Amino acid sequence: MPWEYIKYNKKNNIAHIELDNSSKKNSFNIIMREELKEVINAISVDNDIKVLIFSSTSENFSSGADLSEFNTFPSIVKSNQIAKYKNLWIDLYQFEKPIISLTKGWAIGSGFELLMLSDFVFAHTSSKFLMPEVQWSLIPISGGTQTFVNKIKDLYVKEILLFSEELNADKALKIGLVNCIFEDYSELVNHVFIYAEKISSIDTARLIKIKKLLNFSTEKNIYFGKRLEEIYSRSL
Amino acid sequence: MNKYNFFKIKKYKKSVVIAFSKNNMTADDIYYDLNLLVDDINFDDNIWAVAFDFSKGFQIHNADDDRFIYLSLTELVMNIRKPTLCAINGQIINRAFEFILPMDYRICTQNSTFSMNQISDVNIQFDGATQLLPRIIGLNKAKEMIMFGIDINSEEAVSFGLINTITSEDKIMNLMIEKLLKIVDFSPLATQYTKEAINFGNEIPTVQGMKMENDLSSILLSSNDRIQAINSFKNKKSHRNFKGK
Repeated sequence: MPWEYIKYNKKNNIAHIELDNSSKKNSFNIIMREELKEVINAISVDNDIKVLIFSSTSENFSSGADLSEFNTFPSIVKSNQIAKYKNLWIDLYQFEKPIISLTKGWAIGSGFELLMLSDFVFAHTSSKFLMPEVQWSLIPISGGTQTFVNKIKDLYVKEILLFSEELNADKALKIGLVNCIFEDYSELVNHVFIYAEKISSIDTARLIKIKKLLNFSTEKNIYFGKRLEEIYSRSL
Repeated sequence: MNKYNFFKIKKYKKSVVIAFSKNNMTADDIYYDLNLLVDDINFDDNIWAVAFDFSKGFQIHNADDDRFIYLSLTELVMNIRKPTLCAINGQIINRAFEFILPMDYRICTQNSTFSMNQISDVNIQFDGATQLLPRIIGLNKAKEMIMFGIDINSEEAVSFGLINTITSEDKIMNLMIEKLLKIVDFSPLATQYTKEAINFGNEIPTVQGMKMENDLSSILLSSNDRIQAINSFKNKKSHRNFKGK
């Protein structure tokens, strides 16, 4: 089936989605998000597929949401309903199979957040990362305020989301946002596919359970912990 | 805002810099002032960010009166809805160390050190460190600091993720003001909601957090700041004149 803003391939138990909106720096528009949602839902029930790879067809991974579509919604209530109940990003967070992303050039806003919804991120040395939302009086809307916290230390989350500080590939590697960086792009692509094949050789049911457990490990409540701390202090 | 007994307040553009009036205080001294101050900050639309100036060092001791020993300063700091920064210098121990943990951006001098030795006190008393520190520097390092009372220096603090950046004593305030001015250049609604989504989101299941993120974003949809910023983007203009409305 032809897609307008993505390319989709399936080979040897590996699904490969390429973001393909190069005329607009691979930004996510409404149609692209719908296409992605449809493909991801299909992949999630396709028993042949064991792992999903994201990459892009152009020199940048993605410039994030297409801001030209902003302020065009019919109503705030409608917009909120669509955002909450037809949410591609929640589908991706709940996607049970491993996701590997391959990034190069800019990953901005939702593009960056898509990487944070991936289980493994491999980056070219040209990679740069930015969450510009606060500069435009926006907040992240693709899970960024939730997923960054699960992956990196609180201090860096605030630097990236609150202070909108730009990162290069080295810093992203240092703070744990990406798994590995490569100077040679073809070597990077090769590595990602070898990695995907390696993962796909593991029993899918086992992988799904492990991924769920690892994601569950990040669900916690500080206020309960704080109360417990107080109770213990009083009883000593 | 000079109605406080223990704080000195200075205004910088759309932010405030808060210093303690003396470097050595008890938790109950600060508590009542801080309670008042947090409310004032949260409800003052002209304050978009807050910085604490500890560049001359600071210490906080437990209250002398046992009735006040459980007053939590960190909970008050956690309640500040606006972005918080601090400039730190010298030896930071126990309650003072816990006080800086809820802040969003921490800068220190090369000669700063950090430690917690409550474990060796008869009256073990924590104010948030057992919950906040593992979230900030990871469980293993937090256990080392809390259970063994190890001291860490400024470089270790950066490598653990406790401190954002180190600078010299003569430059620390300039750097803090620079960061403060950077954040008040952004829309205050966006920075407050982002902070809320990060902090509160960490306490609820991720999917619920993602829905909360959508709700906060929807509230922003109707703000003048956002409408004007997006219109500026469409007209290929930069937009740096946020009003917080």
